[in-house]
Amino acid sequence: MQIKGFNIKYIYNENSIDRSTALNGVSFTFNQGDFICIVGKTGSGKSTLVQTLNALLLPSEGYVNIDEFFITGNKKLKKELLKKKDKKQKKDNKNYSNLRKKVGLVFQFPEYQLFSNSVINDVMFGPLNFGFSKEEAKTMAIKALSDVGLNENYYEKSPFLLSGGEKRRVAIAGILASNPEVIVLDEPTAGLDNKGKVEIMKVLTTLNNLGKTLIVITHDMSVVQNYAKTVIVMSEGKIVHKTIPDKLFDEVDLEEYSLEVPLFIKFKKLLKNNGFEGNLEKISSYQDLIDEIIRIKGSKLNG
Amino acid sequence: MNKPIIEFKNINFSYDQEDELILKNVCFSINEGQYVCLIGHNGSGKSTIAKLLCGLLNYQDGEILINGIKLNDENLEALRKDIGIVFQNPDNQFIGSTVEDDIAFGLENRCIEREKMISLVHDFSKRVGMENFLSKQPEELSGGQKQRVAIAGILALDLKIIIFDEATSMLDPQGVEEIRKLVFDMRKKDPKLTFISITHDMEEAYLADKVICLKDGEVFLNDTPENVFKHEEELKSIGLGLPFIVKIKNDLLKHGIKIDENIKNIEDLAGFLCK
Ligand SMILES: Nc1ncnc2c1ncn2[C@@H]1O[C@H](COP(=O)(O)OP(=O)(O)OP(=O)(O)O)[C@@H](O)[C@H]1O
Ligand SMILES: Nc1ncnc2c1ncn2[C@@H]1O[C@H](COP(=O)(O)OP(=O)(O)OP(=O)(O)O)[C@@H](O)[C@H]1O
Ligand SMILES: [Mg+2]
Ligand SMILES: [Mg+2]
Repeated sequence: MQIKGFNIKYIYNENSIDRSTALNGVSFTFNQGDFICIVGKTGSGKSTLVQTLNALLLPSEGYVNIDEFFITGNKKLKKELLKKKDKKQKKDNKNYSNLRKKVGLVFQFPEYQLFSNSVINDVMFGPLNFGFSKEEAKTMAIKALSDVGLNENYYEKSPFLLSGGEKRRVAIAGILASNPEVIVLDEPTAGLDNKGKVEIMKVLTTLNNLGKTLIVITHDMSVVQNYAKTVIVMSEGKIVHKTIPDKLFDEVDLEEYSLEVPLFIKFKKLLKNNGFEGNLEKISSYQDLIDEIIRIKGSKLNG
Repeated sequence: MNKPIIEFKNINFSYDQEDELILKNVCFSINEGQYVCLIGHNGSGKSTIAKLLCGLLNYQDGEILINGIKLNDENLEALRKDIGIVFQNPDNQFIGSTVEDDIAFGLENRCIEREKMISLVHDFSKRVGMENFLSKQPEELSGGQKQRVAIAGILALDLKIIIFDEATSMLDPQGVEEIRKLVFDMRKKDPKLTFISITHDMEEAYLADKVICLKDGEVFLNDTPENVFKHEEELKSIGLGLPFIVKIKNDLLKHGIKIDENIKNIEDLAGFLCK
């Protein structure tokens, strides 16, 4: 399954004086099994973009295409796109509720997502809504909660009376439980402790290895470095780069986009500039770097 | 300056009387002018401590002293005037219907005269890079923009104690740096300003005067960053990592490569390793 964006524009408050253009001509193709990180300065349009993917926001111009779905708020365009399609497809494109089975979105602020009186009910809601039985939904919810590090002590608690990081975990579990084909997460690691971050990114990687498409907005460059297959840089409502993480950190002027390289890469560059004796070219992980330093410095110490 | 401005003495706290204790015999003190980082795993009690400190939650057991005065119902309002918190979720901060009203709200409450207020609102919205958004509604902002506005609203108040509860978690890397610099400048101008930052960013914690680490509602470590981060295994056991520089130094030391103690940043480390 592919996700394609065709020249998407999104304008907030379109018909009023304080209209503001958040997306200004965005086109992309995401393939099944991609692991994409979206990065960019505050206000560059990241959250707006991902909300078009499950039709929470409908593009003012242009459209998103995912399988039988055409997502646009432009009525004329939509009519055109669906002109020769059959009844079922026309119906699917009315309220997009079937689309949301396919594309699950975790919001930037978990509070927007939580609504139920207990954690378990909150996480069961998705599966129940998509037609699973109560028992099935519960099994799926328990698995998802365990994936985000929450055990049975949390099931009956109110999601609103949890700590910030616990809320985020529940919000992520809520989407994982429904098992969508495309998982979109807006800043999933913000507010998580280190262990939570590593565990959740591992779960996402496993899902990606099973063929799911992952789209992750993040400000954490180490997440980009360690997990992304492709990285997209947004600036002023446009996609300005689409590349692999190594190239992003090597070739792109990150300062222009308020970004920076991860510390490991910064350190590697410092070594290079200081004339480090070892071979830094092939080093792609923290452990490689440590091994290389040990090879050079250790031999000196010993000999 | 070694005057304690905040003291927690044997604080036990639970949200619900019947429930288990969320904070257990918490004791610590913070001196005037210090920059303290509060770290700990998710759910360890950091935000709870911050809310107690601002008088947003009442405590039943133990004592909290602000500037030597015990915090209680009578003096709460007076003491609260000097303390400000930027919440973990900026939506909890917003009261005004526009960004401008919002930054002005705290100033109005403190009866700042109108002209001064307007100039402060403009000054601080500019310092956080939000001067072009003054007439917008807070709900019309991106995540990072909301955090910037919430920060401006607190920094403008000329407070004695400022608490950031993960206040920059949604900012891009340079945004984090800008706010850090802004706070640094304010502390330089007013050495008595006490700044408490709740964070999961160990790079930030490494820069603090002091780090207090919580584990399941108890103070687990309370020391200089240098000393706190010596406890690699203990920190790992509660799900926390190390600052990058400390991690590299430790990993090299495990292989017999000892790095000079005075090396505290990666620039110096790179220089040292290339000698
Ligand atoms: N509901 C809204 N109404 C009007 N304008 C909005 C709304 N939401 C966002 N905007 C504006 O659209 C632009 C893009 O916002 P968006 O939330 O997509 O940014 P972002 O890249 O996710 O930023 P951040 O990293 O800070 O979360 C911003 O300038 C923002 O002020
Ligand atoms: N309003 C509340 N009512 C009941 N329990 C609460 C409430 N707020 C938090 N808790 C519980 O108290 C404990 C401490 O929460 P707190 O918010 O202080 O943690 P924290 O250290 O700030 O965590 P995080 O890093 O996730 O923000 C958690 O187990 C949480 O579930
Ligand atoms: Mg956003
Ligand atoms: Mg918290």
